[in-house]
Formats: sequence, C-alpha cells, structure tokens
Amino acid sequence: MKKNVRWIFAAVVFVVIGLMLFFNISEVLRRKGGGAADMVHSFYDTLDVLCMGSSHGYSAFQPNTLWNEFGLTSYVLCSQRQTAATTYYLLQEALKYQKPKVLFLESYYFFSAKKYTDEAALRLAIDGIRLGRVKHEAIQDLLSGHSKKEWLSYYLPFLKYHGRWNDLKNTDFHSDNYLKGSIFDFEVYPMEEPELPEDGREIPDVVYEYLEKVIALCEENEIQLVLFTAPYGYEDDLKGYLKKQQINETLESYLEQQGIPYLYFQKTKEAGIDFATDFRDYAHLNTNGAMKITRSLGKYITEHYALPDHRGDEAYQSWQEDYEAFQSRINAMYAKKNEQE
Amino acid sequence: MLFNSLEFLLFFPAVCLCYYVIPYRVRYLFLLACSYFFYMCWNPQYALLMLTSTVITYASGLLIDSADKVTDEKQRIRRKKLYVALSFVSNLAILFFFKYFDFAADSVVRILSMAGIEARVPAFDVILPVGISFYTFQALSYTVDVYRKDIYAERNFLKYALFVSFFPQLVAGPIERSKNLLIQINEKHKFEFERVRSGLLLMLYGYFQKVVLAEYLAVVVDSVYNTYTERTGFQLMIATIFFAFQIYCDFGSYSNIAIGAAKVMGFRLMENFNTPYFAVSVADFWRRWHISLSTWFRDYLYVPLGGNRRGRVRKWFNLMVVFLASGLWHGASWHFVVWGAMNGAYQIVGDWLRPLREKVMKVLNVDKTAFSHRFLQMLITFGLVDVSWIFFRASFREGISILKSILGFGSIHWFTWGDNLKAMGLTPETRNLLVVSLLILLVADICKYCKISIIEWLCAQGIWLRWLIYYVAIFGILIFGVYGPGFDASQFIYFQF
Repeated sequence: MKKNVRWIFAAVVFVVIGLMLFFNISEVLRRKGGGAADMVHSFYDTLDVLCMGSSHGYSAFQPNTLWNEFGLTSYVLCSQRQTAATTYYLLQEALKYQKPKVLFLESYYFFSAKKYTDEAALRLAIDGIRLGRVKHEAIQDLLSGHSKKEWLSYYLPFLKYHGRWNDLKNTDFHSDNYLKGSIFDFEVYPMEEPELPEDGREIPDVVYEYLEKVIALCEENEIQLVLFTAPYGYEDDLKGYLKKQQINETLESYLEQQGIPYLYFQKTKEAGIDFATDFRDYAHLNTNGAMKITRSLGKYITEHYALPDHRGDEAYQSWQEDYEAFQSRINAMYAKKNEQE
Repeated sequence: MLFNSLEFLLFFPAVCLCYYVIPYRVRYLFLLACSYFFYMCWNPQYALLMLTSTVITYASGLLIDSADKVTDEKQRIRRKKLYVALSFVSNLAILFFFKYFDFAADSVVRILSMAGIEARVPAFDVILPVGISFYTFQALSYTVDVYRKDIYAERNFLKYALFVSFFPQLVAGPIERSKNLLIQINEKHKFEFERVRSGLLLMLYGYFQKVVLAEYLAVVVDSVYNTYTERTGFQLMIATIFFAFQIYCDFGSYSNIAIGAAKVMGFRLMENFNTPYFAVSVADFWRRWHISLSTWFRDYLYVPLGGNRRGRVRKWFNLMVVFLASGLWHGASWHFVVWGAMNGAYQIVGDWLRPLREKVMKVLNVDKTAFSHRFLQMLITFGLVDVSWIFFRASFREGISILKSILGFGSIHWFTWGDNLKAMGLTPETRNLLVVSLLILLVADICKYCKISIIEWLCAQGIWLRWLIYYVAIFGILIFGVYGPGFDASQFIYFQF
C-alpha cells in the first residue's frame, strides 16, 4: 500500500512537471507574429491602456511614446488581420490578467465579413491564449464549421508548431520586451494624401455582433472604449481603398449613436500625419507616424479621463528603462544614418 | 486507430486504467470489447470478417478435440486432418479473396493476354481489411497447435476471441501463438509498477523509432525513389540503405509498442526483432527479423513440407516455397514475390556454396571468431538483404533500374559533386537529427546484441537521471517527431507590411 502511494505521488509529480515543460516548450515553438498577443500574460495589473486591432493598429501605436509623454502604461494586443471577433476573444483573455482603463480599438478590419480572415491570422491571434475557458470558447465559436481534429491543434498549438524546431530565432525565446507589442520601423514610403469618400457603406453584421460584445465587455469591466482609424493610402486599388474608407463613415455615425468616442484621424487631420514621411508602405504608418498618433491619443485621454501619471514612481521604473532602450535604438539608428550620409 | 494517433494515446491509458480497476473475472471481456472497438475504428464491417475467422478456428479446435476421442486410429487421424484442412481452406479463402483476388485476376488476365487471349474478370473493389494477414495466421496457428496437442482446445469462446483480437498486436504483430498468449488470458495480472514502467519505456522507444526515425528516413527514401530516373547511383544507394533502416524502424516500432503495451497490462508477447542487421548470414537474418512470422512459416509450412529432413534438394525447394509464400504474405504484388524469391535464393546459394566457402577460408586461414570476419559477414549480409529491399519498395522494373544505377550502369553519373543532401530532401538540421537518431538506434541495438538491457540499466539509476532521460525522450519525440497538421512557414508569410 505504502509503495503504491509512493508511485502514485511520483507519477503525479512527473505529470505536473511534464505539463509545465510542455506548455513552456510550446510557447517557445509557437510562431510569433509582429505585434501579436505574445506577452499579455507578462504584466499584472499594471496597464492603463490597451490597443487592439489589426496590423494598422500595431503600426499606429507606440507604448513608449505614451509612457514618455503622458506617464501612462500600455500594451499593443494587435495581430495581423485581426477581425472584430478575434479582438473580442483576445480582449477576454487580456482581462483575465489586466485591468486597463482605456481600450483603443483600431477599426481597419471592420470591412471584413468573416469571423476570422485565415488560418495564419487566427493562429497569430489566439495561439498565444492560454489553455482555458476563453480559448475553448474562441475555438468553438470561430472554428465551428471545422472538424474536431482541426480544433485540436488550436487547443494544443504544440501539435502545429513542433516542426519549427529548426526554424527558431532569438525572438522565440525572448521577445523585444521594450516594444510591448508594437513594432520598430522607420522605413519611409512617401505618397500623396488620398481623398476620402463622402458617403458611407454597410458594415458587415458580424462586425456589429462582435463590436457590441466588445462594448458590453468594456462596460462590464469599466473600461473606456475609444475607437480610432489610423490613416492609410492605397497602391493601385483606389476602388477598394474607398470602399474601406466608406466603412469608417458609417462607423462614425454608428458610434455617435452609441456614445462611444471615435477618432478618425485621416478626416480630422488631428495628429498631423504627413503622407510624405509617416508611412512605411501604402497602408501602414511607420514609427514616426505611430508616435504622432499616440501623442494624439494620449492627449485625448488626459483631456477626457483622469488617469494618474506614473512617471517618477519607483514601482514603474522598468517602464522608464524600456523607454530609454527604445530611445537609444532610435538614436543609434539616426547616428548610423548620419554616418552613411 | 494507429499507434501513432492521438486516439490511441487517449484510448490506451483509459483502457489500462479501467483494466486495473475492474475485477479479474471480467477483465478478458473488457479487453475483448476494447479490442473490437480498436479494430472497428478502421472499418466496423471488417470486424465481422475477424469474427468469422475466430468462429471457424474456435470450432476447428473443438472438433479436433472431439475427434481425439475416436478410438479407431485411422479414422481419428483422418478426421483431425479433415478439420485442420477445413479451417485452413476457409480462412485462406477469405484471406485470398480480400487480399489477393484482384492481384490474381490481374495476373491471369495478363498471362492470357500474352497468349493472345482477351479475358475479362470482374473487379471487386474491396479495401484490404487491416491486419487480416496477421490475425488469420494467428488464428490458424491455433488450429494446428490443437491438432498437435500443443494446446488444449479453448472452450470459452470469448476468451478465444480475445486471443485472436488482442488489440496491441492485432494489426501489425507480433503474430502470437496460442501456446503463449491464450494461456495468459487466464492469468491474474496485478498492477506492478516496475513492469508497467518498463512496458511504457519500451513503447516510448517504439514511438521514437516510428515518428522520428522512420518518418525522417522516409523523407529521403520517398524523395529519391519517387524520382529514381533522375537520381545518381550514389543517391539511390544512400536511399536504399536508409530504406533498410526505415522499414526496420517502422516495423520494429509497431512490435515494440505492441509488446510494451501488452506488458503494461501484464501480457508477455514474443520478441519480434532481434538486432536483425547484426545477422551474419541471410538465414541468421531471418532468425532475427520478424521472428513471429518466420517461426510461423517454419512451424506451419517448412516443417510440414519436410523441412531439411528429406535431403538437400528438397530442403532447397521447401525454403523457396516458404520464401515465396512469405513474399506474397507481405503484399499482393509480384515485386514482393521477387523479394521473397531473392531471400530464398540467397540461402539456397549460400547452402550450395558452403563447402567452397569453407575451403577458401581454410586456405586463407581465416579465424571465424575474429571480429573482423564477423563484421565482414554482417556487411555482406546487410548488402544482400538491402538489395532485396529494393524490390520490396519498388516494382520489379523500377527495382532493376535502381539496382543498375547503384551498380554504376545507370544512364547518369554514379556520383556528382554538389548538394546531395538538399537533393535528397534533407537540410543540415534534419541531417544532424538523423545522424543522432541513427546513433541512438545503433547504441540500442549494440546493447541488445550484447544482452545489456538499457531499460533495466535506466531503472537502476537515481531519480534525477531517470527523470531527465524520460523527459528528454518524451520531448525529443514530441518536438522532433513527424505528426500533426504540420507547420508550413509559407502559410505564415504575409507580406510583412
């Protein structure tokens, strides 16, 4: 009997250690994407602001600027081609670990009538969610038309990514923490400022459905929701560009009815975005542009909501250090540029 | 439900857990239900086929047993033989229909067309029932064993049905004997930690052989063999050597997982592969390769044919019959027959040349016990066996062409300097992985050859080393194994806007 107790105990310990290893290795092997939900679990109760949305979101928001100029802590939980439905589940996961006071939601992907755009985009968004209720509900909802077998590798991303062992990079072991989900890209793609449409266009039902859920979730958690649209241009598809901008027109009036603030930067020209210098490609702002947008967003917060300034607070020392890392990278970049010139 | 499927990884622990919780007297019923469930996961209808074989051989056992009570000796023997014959004919007929009908029909049509006769045979589109060759042979062995009085005739049909369908070894062996397995069904298997652990470790090694080694070797073999006409002799040679290890790991892994799984539940299955590539002759190879099948053919075909008791020529004939049958058993195709014939021929020629070889060795004063001599024997045996594997893997015509290229008579150069590795579907990383994995296989086989049990050694170590090795093994397989939906980096290449 005594022996049996011993080996049962040993087996339990063995399995527990095994599971811990499993989830940690799984996290290393998981394919990371620029500005994905990679690190949401690494902060506890320290965030004032969360930014969500697609690549347009992570290209337009710079947490280090928000820290340096307003003393606010923030994190970017955007991922490539993130739809409203994926935002909803990702937000639920974030709220398990964070209590942000403001959520900035970038609206670019509201043109999409899909729950999720494609497998890769979905994986980049939800693979980082820990195994639990949120993940389960996200899979059940977003992948409802798929077979159980397909679900499995979403529950356990290990099954999908174990073959990445010969493709690992430094960032798989430690992400660029100081960027906090944002990106660092000063590439310049100059273009002329495109026109905006005058009329609106129907927003897909699925977007309303999940946007309403996001609104409800924010109310429940006493989070001030603010929507914004980062400016963008087009390469050759003017029609497509206009169609997408039309969505924003409709969104503007919808949000007005709902009493939710909406910052349509391309229309208001508030942030002072310069199409000749602030883009890295025709659709995405570079870090220069991101700093401008963030400055505007920060100003909006301080004007409308009373959030404490953490600058100088001992407990937030790491935020200052991260900012310095960010700034020294910028300095180094300019120094190198000058040298070349 | 394959061993390397998630279903099995859920099924097996659940079965074991229940197995040890329920009372002894119902355990065989539970295992029987599990075994049929396991089999029906492939195709529920084919369980009926297995049931038919079970009923026939079960009945044959009872009939043979009852015939034993006949006092007249002549009649007794005649009756017993009749029942054996009925069991064999009916079982082999099922096997023939499901496995060989299309092959036989196709062959007949082709032969007739060579003679200028147009013939049409209705094609039966039947899917080969999984494991039919394995359980049919297992069931037939029971008929003969009862006939030979090596085993009692089992009265309890359900116990007998479990013997035929026992899930660990049902679909890919080892082909058990009633003498060994049937009697174990009556044993009471207690949960013994040490035994369960060593069973699990053996399974783990089996998984390593399958999902890491066999799968990565298959990458090379498939990429080279699928485009054999464009390959240099060198690449074909490497692929052919790899195929020898691929099939060893593939087949060996199933046996190891089966033996390990059975061990976890307290059953002792026979060993199926005993370091086959350390064999010093082709005959020795067949004593080490798929032992349960070779001994089946020895006991139920070679010996009844007269074995080696009726002179040399008859012995050779018997050998050939056995190996042709073995070839056919492996698959319904002529290239398997060629493969079998080659293995038979090797042994016949070897036997025939034995006096000459002895003479040469005497003249050269060769020390037969020296390592160098034994190593040379191993190399030659491996070479011979490996050449026959070409015909196991490829059709006859392809095989001939591949063999020609390897021997340097191909249409392109035997060797070209360049990135052979990449051409064979390997990256430097996967090559390193393969080298390390093959070294592990080599060390494991050397230990086995030297009768050192790695599992026993491991279990005698302190907990830190034991657990470290367990975790390294488990995660090594999980990370480096080939399974799951697969990661394709290109799927994630989104214009990095």
